Amino acid sequence: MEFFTAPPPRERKPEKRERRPPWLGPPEDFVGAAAPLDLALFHSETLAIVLTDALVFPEGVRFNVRMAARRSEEIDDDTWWDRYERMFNVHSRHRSSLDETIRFGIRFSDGSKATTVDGALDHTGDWPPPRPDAPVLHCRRSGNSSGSDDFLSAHWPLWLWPLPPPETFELAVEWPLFEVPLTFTEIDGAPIAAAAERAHPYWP
Amino acid sequence: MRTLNRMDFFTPPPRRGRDVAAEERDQPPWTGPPKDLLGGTVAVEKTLFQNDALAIVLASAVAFPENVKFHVRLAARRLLDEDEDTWWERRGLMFEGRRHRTRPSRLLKDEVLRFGVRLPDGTKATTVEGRTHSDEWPPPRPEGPVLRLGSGGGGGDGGSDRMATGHWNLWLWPLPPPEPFEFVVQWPAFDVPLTFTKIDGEALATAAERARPYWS
Repeated sequence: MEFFTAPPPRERKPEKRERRPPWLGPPEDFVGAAAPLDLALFHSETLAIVLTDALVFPEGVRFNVRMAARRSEEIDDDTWWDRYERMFNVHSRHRSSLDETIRFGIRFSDGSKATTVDGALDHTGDWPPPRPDAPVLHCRRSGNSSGSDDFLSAHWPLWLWPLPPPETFELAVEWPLFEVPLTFTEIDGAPIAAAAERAHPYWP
Repeated sequence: MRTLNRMDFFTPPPRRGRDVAAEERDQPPWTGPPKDLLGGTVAVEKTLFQNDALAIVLASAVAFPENVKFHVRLAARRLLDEDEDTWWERRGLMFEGRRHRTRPSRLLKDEVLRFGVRLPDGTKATTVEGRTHSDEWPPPRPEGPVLRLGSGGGGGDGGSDRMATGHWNLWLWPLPPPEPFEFVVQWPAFDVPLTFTKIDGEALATAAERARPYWS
Protein backbone atom coordinates (compact mmCIF):
# COMPACT_ATOMS: atom_id res chain seq x y z
CA MET A 1 0.00 0.00 0.00
CA GLU A 2 1.42 3.38 -0.86
CA PHE A 3 0.99 5.53 2.16
CA PHE A 4 4.05 7.70 2.08
CA THR A 5 4.42 9.11 -1.36
CA ALA A 6 7.10 11.46 -2.53
CA PRO A 7 6.16 15.03 -3.36
CA PRO A 8 6.10 16.05 -7.01
CA PRO A 9 9.44 17.37 -8.25
CA ARG A 10 9.84 21.04 -7.49
CA GLU A 11 10.40 23.49 -10.23
CA ARG A 12 13.90 24.60 -9.48
CA LYS A 13 14.17 28.29 -10.00
CA PRO A 14 17.38 29.25 -11.73
CA GLU A 15 18.04 32.43 -9.78
CA LYS A 16 20.48 32.29 -6.95
CA ARG A 17 19.60 32.94 -3.38
CA GLU A 18 20.74 36.40 -2.45
CA ARG A 19 24.06 36.76 -0.73
CA ARG A 20 23.65 37.98 2.82
CA PRO A 21 24.15 41.75 2.93
CA PRO A 22 27.33 42.81 4.76
CA TRP A 23 25.52 44.69 7.51
CA LEU A 24 24.08 41.41 8.72
CA GLY A 25 27.30 39.53 9.04
CA PRO A 26 30.61 38.56 7.51
CA PRO A 27 30.77 37.52 3.84
CA GLU A 28 30.83 33.77 3.57
CA ASP A 29 33.00 33.74 0.49
CA PHE A 30 35.87 35.59 2.13
CA VAL A 31 38.72 34.44 4.35
CA GLY A 32 38.86 36.94 7.18
CA ALA A 33 42.14 38.15 8.66
CA ALA A 34 42.80 37.86 12.40
CA ALA A 35 43.99 40.87 14.39
CA PRO A 36 45.01 40.04 17.99
CA LEU A 37 43.75 42.68 20.42
CA ASP A 38 43.91 41.29 24.02
CA LEU A 39 41.93 44.11 25.66
CA ALA A 40 40.19 43.82 29.01
CA LEU A 41 36.73 45.39 28.67
CA PHE A 42 35.62 44.78 32.24
CA HIS A 43 37.10 42.98 35.20
CA SER A 44 35.77 42.30 38.67
CA GLU A 45 36.26 39.54 41.20
CA THR A 46 33.52 37.49 39.58
CA LEU A 47 33.20 38.56 35.96
CA ALA A 48 35.80 39.17 33.28
CA ILE A 49 35.01 40.43 29.78
CA VAL A 50 37.88 40.45 27.30
CA LEU A 51 38.17 41.43 23.66
CA THR A 52 40.59 38.75 22.51
CA ASP A 53 40.88 39.44 18.80
CA ALA A 54 39.04 40.59 15.73
CA LEU A 55 38.32 38.80 12.46
CA VAL A 56 38.43 41.45 9.79
CA PHE A 57 36.81 41.67 6.35
CA PRO A 58 36.78 44.49 3.81
CA GLU A 59 33.31 45.64 4.88
CA GLY A 60 33.20 44.88 8.55
CA VAL A 61 34.79 43.32 11.57
CA ARG A 62 33.86 40.58 13.96
CA PHE A 63 35.03 41.30 17.48
CA ASN A 64 35.61 38.14 19.50
CA VAL A 65 34.59 38.88 23.06
CA ARG A 66 35.17 36.24 25.68
CA MET A 67 33.42 36.35 28.99
CA ALA A 68 34.24 34.35 32.10
CA ALA A 69 32.37 34.20 35.38
CA ARG A 70 33.58 32.73 38.58
CA ARG A 71 31.44 31.91 41.53
CA SER A 72 31.85 33.54 44.86
CA GLU A 73 30.65 32.09 48.14
CA GLU A 74 27.48 34.10 48.47
CA ILE A 75 26.07 33.13 45.07
CA ASP A 76 23.46 30.43 45.49
CA ASP A 77 22.74 27.71 42.96
CA ASP A 78 19.74 29.41 41.39
CA THR A 79 21.64 32.63 40.76
CA TRP A 80 24.61 30.76 39.41
CA TRP A 81 22.64 28.71 36.89
CA ASP A 82 20.56 31.71 35.92
CA ARG A 83 23.83 33.45 35.19
CA TYR A 84 24.85 30.39 33.16
CA GLU A 85 21.73 30.73 31.04
CA ARG A 86 22.21 34.41 30.48
CA MET A 87 25.80 34.02 29.43
CA PHE A 88 24.77 31.49 26.84
CA ASN A 89 21.58 33.01 25.58
CA VAL A 90 21.65 36.39 23.96
CA HIS A 91 18.28 35.98 22.31
CA SER A 92 16.46 36.23 25.58
CA ARG A 93 16.61 39.94 24.80
CA HIS A 94 12.96 39.83 23.83
CA ARG A 95 11.89 38.17 27.05
CA SER A 96 14.15 40.07 29.41
CA SER A 97 14.08 43.62 30.58
CA LEU A 98 16.72 45.91 29.23
CA ASP A 99 18.70 45.69 32.48
CA GLU A 100 19.02 41.93 32.17
CA THR A 101 20.55 42.11 28.72
CA ILE A 102 24.20 42.70 28.18
CA ARG A 103 24.78 45.62 25.85
CA PHE A 104 27.74 46.40 23.67
CA GLY A 105 28.36 49.58 21.71
CA ILE A 106 30.87 51.35 19.55
CA ARG A 107 31.49 55.08 19.86
CA PHE A 108 33.44 56.73 17.08
CA SER A 109 35.64 59.78 17.39
CA ASP A 110 32.94 61.95 15.79
CA GLY A 111 30.54 60.98 18.55
CA SER A 112 28.40 58.68 16.42
CA LYS A 113 27.64 55.29 17.86
CA ALA A 114 26.17 51.88 17.18
CA THR A 115 24.88 49.59 19.89
CA THR A 116 23.48 46.10 20.13
CA VAL A 117 20.24 47.42 21.60
CA ASP A 118 19.43 50.33 19.29
CA GLY A 119 17.12 48.28 17.11
CA ALA A 120 19.03 49.20 13.97
CA LEU A 121 18.60 45.74 12.59
CA ASP A 122 14.92 45.39 13.36
CA HIS A 123 13.37 45.51 9.94
CA THR A 124 10.09 44.97 8.23
CA GLY A 125 10.87 41.52 7.00
CA ASP A 126 11.78 42.60 3.50
CA TRP A 127 14.55 40.67 1.90
CA PRO A 128 17.10 41.89 1.39
CA PRO A 129 16.68 44.21 4.37
CA PRO A 130 17.20 47.89 3.55
CA ARG A 131 20.74 49.21 3.82
CA PRO A 132 21.12 51.02 7.15
CA ASP A 133 22.24 54.62 6.94
CA ALA A 134 24.49 54.41 9.99
CA PRO A 135 26.94 51.84 11.40
CA VAL A 136 25.39 48.80 13.01
CA LEU A 137 26.64 46.52 15.75
CA HIS A 138 25.16 43.07 15.94
CA CYS A 139 25.61 40.63 18.79
CA ARG A 140 25.61 37.00 17.73
CA ARG A 141 26.35 34.36 20.29
CA SER A 142 28.36 31.38 19.27
CA GLY A 143 28.18 27.94 20.79
CA ASN A 144 31.71 27.97 22.07
CA SER A 145 31.17 28.01 25.77
CA SER A 146 31.80 25.85 28.79
CA GLY A 147 30.55 25.75 32.31
CA SER A 148 30.82 24.01 35.59
CA ASP A 149 29.77 24.49 39.18
CA ASP A 150 32.00 27.46 39.67
CA PHE A 151 33.41 28.67 36.38
CA LEU A 152 31.76 29.63 33.13
CA SER A 153 33.15 31.04 29.94
CA ALA A 154 31.40 32.05 26.76
CA HIS A 155 32.24 33.50 23.39
CA TRP A 156 30.26 36.53 22.20
CA PRO A 157 31.04 37.61 18.67
CA LEU A 158 30.03 41.15 17.70
CA TRP A 159 29.69 42.19 14.07
CA LEU A 160 30.37 45.83 13.21
CA TRP A 161 29.52 47.23 9.81
CA PRO A 162 31.05 49.02 8.06
CA LEU A 163 34.78 48.67 8.70
CA PRO A 164 35.78 51.33 11.25
CA PRO A 165 38.28 54.01 10.22
CA PRO A 166 41.99 53.46 11.05
CA GLU A 167 41.84 55.62 14.16
CA THR A 168 40.96 55.25 17.82
CA PHE A 169 37.38 54.43 18.72
CA GLU A 170 35.71 53.02 21.82
CA LEU A 171 33.97 49.78 22.66
CA ALA A 172 31.36 50.09 25.39
CA VAL A 173 29.86 47.39 27.58
CA GLU A 174 27.18 47.56 30.22
CA TRP A 175 25.29 44.87 32.12
CA PRO A 176 23.25 46.23 35.01
CA LEU A 177 22.05 42.80 36.12
CA PHE A 178 25.62 41.76 36.81
CA GLU A 179 26.83 45.13 38.04
CA VAL A 180 28.84 45.98 35.00
CA PRO A 181 28.64 49.76 34.77
CA LEU A 182 28.88 51.54 31.44
CA THR A 183 32.55 51.03 30.65
CA PHE A 184 34.47 52.31 27.63
CA THR A 185 37.68 50.83 26.26
CA GLU A 186 39.78 52.45 23.57
CA ILE A 187 40.53 50.41 20.50
CA ASP A 188 43.19 51.28 17.96
CA GLY A 189 41.62 50.96 14.53
CA ALA A 190 44.99 50.78 12.75
CA PRO A 191 45.66 47.04 13.17
CA ILE A 192 42.06 46.36 12.16
CA ALA A 193 42.44 48.39 8.97
CA ALA A 194 45.74 46.62 8.27
CA ALA A 195 44.12 43.22 8.71
CA ALA A 196 41.33 44.20 6.30
CA GLU A 197 43.93 44.37 3.54
CA ARG A 198 44.76 40.71 4.08
CA ALA A 199 41.17 39.48 3.84
CA HIS A 200 40.56 37.83 0.49
CA PRO A 201 37.95 35.72 -1.28
CA TYR A 202 38.41 31.96 -1.20
CA TRP A 203 38.24 32.01 -5.00
CA PRO A 204 39.32 35.28 -6.60
CA MET B 1 7.26 -1.92 52.47
CA ARG B 2 9.01 1.25 53.42
CA THR B 3 6.94 4.33 52.97
CA LEU B 4 8.79 6.98 51.03
CA ASN B 5 8.36 10.55 51.91
CA ARG B 6 7.34 11.77 48.49
CA MET B 7 8.64 15.24 49.06
CA ASP B 8 12.13 13.84 49.48
CA PHE B 9 12.17 11.41 46.61
CA PHE B 10 13.87 13.55 44.03
CA THR B 11 16.50 15.44 45.85
CA PRO B 12 19.14 17.59 44.24
CA PRO B 13 22.71 16.36 44.50
CA PRO B 14 24.85 18.02 47.10
CA ARG B 15 26.83 20.90 45.76
CA ARG B 16 30.26 19.60 44.94
CA GLY B 17 33.13 21.09 46.76
CA ARG B 18 35.39 23.56 45.08
CA ASP B 19 38.08 20.90 44.91
CA VAL B 20 36.22 18.71 42.49
CA ALA B 21 35.27 21.53 40.18
CA ALA B 22 38.78 22.90 40.27
CA GLU B 23 40.16 19.48 39.53
CA GLU B 24 37.95 19.24 36.50
CA ARG B 25 39.15 22.60 35.34
CA ASP B 26 42.81 21.81 35.94
CA GLN B 27 42.72 18.95 33.52
CA PRO B 28 46.10 17.87 32.19
CA PRO B 29 46.95 19.67 28.94
CA TRP B 30 47.02 16.43 26.97
CA THR B 31 43.26 16.20 27.45
CA GLY B 32 42.55 19.60 25.98
CA PRO B 33 43.35 23.28 26.07
CA PRO B 34 42.86 25.14 29.36
CA LYS B 35 39.41 26.56 29.87
CA ASP B 36 40.36 29.28 32.32
CA LEU B 37 43.16 30.88 30.35
CA LEU B 38 43.05 33.45 27.61
CA GLY B 39 45.41 32.41 24.86
CA GLY B 40 47.46 34.47 22.45
CA THR B 41 45.86 34.75 19.00
CA VAL B 42 48.01 34.36 15.89
CA ALA B 43 46.91 35.13 12.35
CA VAL B 44 48.05 32.16 10.27
CA GLU B 45 45.96 32.48 7.08
CA LYS B 46 47.56 29.61 5.23
CA THR B 47 45.69 27.76 2.52
CA LEU B 48 46.22 24.08 3.23
CA PHE B 49 44.49 22.93 0.05
CA GLN B 50 42.47 24.45 -2.73
CA ASN B 51 40.89 23.34 -5.98
CA ASP B 52 37.85 24.55 -7.88
CA ALA B 53 35.44 22.82 -5.54
CA LEU B 54 37.02 23.01 -2.10
CA ALA B 55 39.26 25.26 -0.04
CA ILE B 56 40.76 24.39 3.36
CA VAL B 57 42.40 27.28 5.18
CA LEU B 58 44.22 27.33 8.51
CA ALA B 59 42.85 30.72 9.49
CA SER B 60 44.24 31.36 12.95
CA ALA B 61 45.63 29.77 16.07
CA VAL B 62 45.35 30.48 19.77
CA ALA B 63 48.43 29.54 21.78
CA PHE B 64 48.69 28.55 25.41
CA PRO B 65 51.75 27.50 27.39
CA GLU B 66 51.11 23.83 26.65
CA ASN B 67 48.55 23.74 23.87
CA VAL B 68 47.54 25.32 20.62
CA LYS B 69 44.05 25.65 19.22
CA PHE B 70 43.80 25.78 15.45
CA HIS B 71 40.88 27.31 13.63
CA VAL B 72 40.39 25.80 10.18
CA ARG B 73 37.86 27.06 7.68
CA LEU B 74 36.35 24.97 4.92
CA ALA B 75 34.67 26.38 1.85
CA ALA B 76 32.92 24.36 -0.83
CA ARG B 77 31.95 25.82 -4.17
CA ARG B 78 29.44 24.28 -6.53
CA LEU B 79 30.95 23.38 -9.88
CA LEU B 80 29.24 24.56 -13.06
CA ASP B 81 28.43 21.03 -14.13
CA GLU B 82 27.46 19.81 -10.66
CA ASP B 83 23.77 19.04 -10.45
CA GLU B 84 21.73 20.00 -7.45
CA ASP B 85 21.47 16.59 -5.86
CA THR B 86 25.20 15.97 -6.11
CA TRP B 87 25.93 19.41 -4.66
CA TRP B 88 23.64 18.93 -1.67
CA GLU B 89 24.97 15.46 -1.05
CA ARG B 90 28.52 16.76 -1.16
CA ARG B 91 27.66 19.55 1.26
CA GLY B 92 26.23 17.03 3.68
CA LEU B 93 29.25 14.79 3.48
CA MET B 94 31.65 17.66 3.87
CA PHE B 95 30.06 19.57 6.68
CA GLU B 96 28.15 17.21 8.93
CA GLY B 97 30.27 17.11 12.05
CA ARG B 98 29.30 13.65 13.12
CA ARG B 99 30.78 12.12 9.99
CA HIS B 100 34.21 13.29 11.01
CA ARG B 101 34.00 12.81 14.74
CA THR B 102 33.35 9.16 14.31
CA ARG B 103 34.12 5.83 15.93
CA PRO B 104 37.54 4.23 15.62
CA SER B 105 36.52 1.67 12.99
CA ARG B 106 35.44 4.47 10.65
CA LEU B 107 38.26 6.94 11.17
CA LEU B 108 40.17 5.97 8.04
CA LYS B 109 37.18 5.93 5.69
CA ASP B 110 37.77 8.06 2.61
CA GLU B 111 35.01 10.50 3.51
CA VAL B 112 36.47 11.35 6.92
CA LEU B 113 38.53 14.53 6.94
CA ARG B 114 42.05 13.91 8.23
CA PHE B 115 44.29 16.46 9.91
CA GLY B 116 47.76 15.98 11.31
CA VAL B 117 50.92 17.68 12.45
CA ARG B 118 54.50 16.61 11.88
CA LEU B 119 56.91 18.19 14.32
CA PRO B 120 60.59 18.99 13.71
CA ASP B 121 61.72 15.95 15.72
CA GLY B 122 59.77 13.72 13.36
CA THR B 123 56.97 12.90 15.79
CA LYS B 124 53.44 13.26 14.54
CA ALA B 125 49.86 13.36 15.68
CA THR B 126 46.70 12.95 13.63
CA THR B 127 42.99 13.28 14.22
CA VAL B 128 42.38 9.77 12.93
CA GLU B 129 44.69 7.69 15.02
CA GLY B 130 42.05 7.09 17.67
CA ARG B 131 42.39 7.49 21.37
CA THR B 132 44.27 5.21 23.64
CA HIS B 133 41.61 4.24 26.07
CA SER B 134 42.45 4.44 29.68
CA ASP B 135 40.23 3.95 32.66
CA GLU B 136 42.29 6.34 34.69
CA TRP B 137 41.35 9.94 35.13
CA PRO B 138 43.27 11.95 34.51
CA PRO B 139 44.69 9.77 31.74
CA PRO B 140 48.44 9.28 31.87
CA ARG B 141 50.75 11.49 29.88
CA PRO B 142 50.92 10.15 26.32
CA GLU B 143 54.19 9.21 24.66
CA GLY B 144 53.80 11.60 21.75
CA PRO B 145 51.87 14.66 20.68
CA VAL B 146 48.08 14.68 20.58
CA LEU B 147 45.89 16.36 17.96
CA ARG B 148 42.14 16.29 18.36
CA LEU B 149 39.08 17.70 16.70
CA GLY B 150 37.28 20.08 18.99
CA SER B 151 34.09 21.88 18.15
CA GLY B 152 33.04 22.52 14.60
CA GLY B 153 32.12 20.64 11.53
CA GLY B 154 29.06 22.75 11.29
CA GLY B 155 28.12 25.24 8.69
CA GLY B 156 27.28 24.14 5.22
CA ASP B 157 24.32 26.48 5.37
CA GLY B 158 23.99 30.06 4.41
CA GLY B 159 26.08 31.68 1.76
CA SER B 160 24.50 31.39 -1.60
CA ASP B 161 23.34 28.43 -3.62
CA ARG B 162 26.85 28.17 -4.94
CA MET B 163 28.89 28.13 -1.75
CA ALA B 164 28.92 26.61 1.65
CA THR B 165 31.38 27.16 4.46
CA GLY B 166 32.15 25.62 7.79
CA HIS B 167 34.92 25.43 10.32
CA TRP B 168 36.82 23.07 12.56
CA ASN B 169 38.57 23.80 15.79
CA LEU B 170 41.44 21.48 16.59
CA TRP B 171 43.78 21.40 19.53
CA LEU B 172 47.33 20.18 19.82
CA TRP B 173 49.40 19.18 22.82
CA PRO B 174 52.13 20.11 23.48
CA LEU B 175 52.94 23.57 22.18
CA PRO B 176 55.31 22.95 19.24
CA PRO B 177 58.89 24.22 19.54
CA PRO B 178 59.67 27.69 18.13
CA GLU B 179 60.62 26.34 14.70
CA PRO B 180 58.76 25.51 11.51
CA PHE B 181 56.58 22.41 11.65
CA GLU B 182 54.06 20.91 9.28
CA PHE B 183 50.30 20.91 9.28
CA VAL B 184 48.89 18.01 7.31
CA VAL B 185 45.57 17.41 5.60
CA GLN B 186 44.16 14.61 3.48
CA TRP B 187 40.62 13.89 2.30
CA PRO B 188 40.52 11.00 -0.15
CA ALA B 189 36.81 11.23 -0.91
CA PHE B 190 37.26 14.79 -2.12
CA ASP B 191 40.55 14.44 -3.98
CA VAL B 192 42.64 16.11 -1.30
CA PRO B 193 45.97 14.31 -1.45
CA LEU B 194 48.29 14.04 1.54
CA THR B 195 49.40 17.69 1.75
CA PHE B 196 51.98 19.25 4.05
CA THR B 197 52.05 22.98 4.83
CA LYS B 198 54.82 24.70 6.76
CA ILE B 199 53.67 26.62 9.81
CA ASP B 200 55.73 29.09 11.81
CA GLY B 201 56.16 27.60 15.27
CA GLU B 202 57.97 30.66 16.50
CA ALA B 203 54.90 32.86 16.12
CA LEU B 204 52.94 30.36 18.19
CA ALA B 205 55.59 30.28 20.91
CA THR B 206 55.60 34.08 21.08
CA ALA B 207 51.82 34.18 21.26
CA ALA B 208 51.83 31.55 24.02
CA GLU B 209 53.73 34.01 26.19
CA ARG B 210 50.74 36.34 26.02
CA ALA B 211 48.44 33.68 27.49
CA ARG B 212 47.13 34.61 30.91
CA PRO B 213 44.41 33.53 33.31
CA TYR B 214 41.19 35.51 33.48
CA TRP B 215 42.03 36.01 37.14
CA SER B 216 45.62 35.98 38.29
